[in-house]
Amino acid sequence: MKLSFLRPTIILAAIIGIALTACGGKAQFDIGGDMVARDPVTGADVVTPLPFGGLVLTNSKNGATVSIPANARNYKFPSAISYGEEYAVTVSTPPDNMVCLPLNASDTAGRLATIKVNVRCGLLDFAVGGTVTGLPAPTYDTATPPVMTSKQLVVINGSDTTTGAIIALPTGTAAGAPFQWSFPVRVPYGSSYGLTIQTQPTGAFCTIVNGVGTVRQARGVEITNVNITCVATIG
Amino acid sequence: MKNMYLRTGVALACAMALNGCGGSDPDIVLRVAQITGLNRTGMTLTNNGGTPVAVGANASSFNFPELVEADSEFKIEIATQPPNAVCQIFNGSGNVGSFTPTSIVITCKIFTYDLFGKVENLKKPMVINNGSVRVTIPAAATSFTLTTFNTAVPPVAVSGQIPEDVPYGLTILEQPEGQTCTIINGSGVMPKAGIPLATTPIVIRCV
Repeated sequence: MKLSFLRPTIILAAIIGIALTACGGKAQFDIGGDMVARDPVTGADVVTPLPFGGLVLTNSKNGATVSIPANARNYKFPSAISYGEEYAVTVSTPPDNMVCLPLNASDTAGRLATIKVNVRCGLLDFAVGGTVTGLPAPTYDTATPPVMTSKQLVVINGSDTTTGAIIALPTGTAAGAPFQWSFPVRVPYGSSYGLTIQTQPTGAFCTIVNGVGTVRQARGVEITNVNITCVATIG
Repeated sequence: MKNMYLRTGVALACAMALNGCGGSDPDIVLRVAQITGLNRTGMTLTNNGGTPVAVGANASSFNFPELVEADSEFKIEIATQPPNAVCQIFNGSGNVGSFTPTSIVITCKIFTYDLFGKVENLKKPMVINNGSVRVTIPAAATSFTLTTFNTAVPPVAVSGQIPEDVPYGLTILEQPEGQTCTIINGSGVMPKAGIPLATTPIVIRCV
């Protein structure tokens, strides 16, 4: 027993009692927990079946692993650990299209009555954007400080945000020159998107290509083909 | 910073208590730490039933203009709701000496409405979307709504409704087999009464 890891608590004393009587001095502890997702409104973790498979967890202290299939609501490592042993649950392979984080992932067996390491998972999200060309420079009046007199290009993704995203020439980019843009709110895997123009900029008419789709991207591959082309208008 | 105000206040209160002065000067900022979903003016708040104070549009937090005394009781209430919205306050009452300056929260929900459109000459199913909201329009349909209802009695809208003043932009995710459709007047801003079928300007025309 690694007594240096132990903190004197009543629970601990109780467990030592159990250990001595039931297991001849060596209590066993299962490592497991629930699969949870964060509720977007309340921020609380809610038990949620895992939508995708492929997740592998590792106890980095002893090298044990457990594979967790799609639709799992909870998991348990195949073998228990002994009282006083340290554990640290890590994600060795994330599920397809998701990212996971074990909560309260590491401690010493026996410090608490049971070991519970819930795993919080969420869908990967992706930037949706592309190249803007032909966007004119804004115009200002002569007041101090100057006030913008031109309308700016505003793009929306349906009603997913309460206000649209202003797309402006980045500092140092010449009027009309191409630049990269992406919608400020990333889109989760499996979700559809439909980018449209809410407000045209003064002096140009812009159109979007490839603005509609459903996110089926590989991990880490952003969507960069949503291009906006603006053509100068007369008057 | 607010923590410092609070600590200063508490310290001051203690010092005064030790000196036996009794009572203390109001010197603590009463703060609503977080306000979400408020996109319009019209909400007023009171503390302990006092004079209502107005909260501006798009406010994300609010400090009451009148300072409060250490160890006094506070009770924040919404005196006036903003138009076409319902706001709710959490942790709105307590003792100044023991409250956490980040605990008072107001969340607002703007009224939401259905969006309807007409469909012309659709021979096979198609899928339209408003950002992340997808709706399948069946073959031969002459109208659609973005709203999806559950199977309860009476049915309750579960997705697709749009809050007042929020923009919408319809796009075609999947064209019907063998046809090409276009959406006319597919973008705008949700008006105060919603967009009923009788007056909708939105038309999906298929050829």
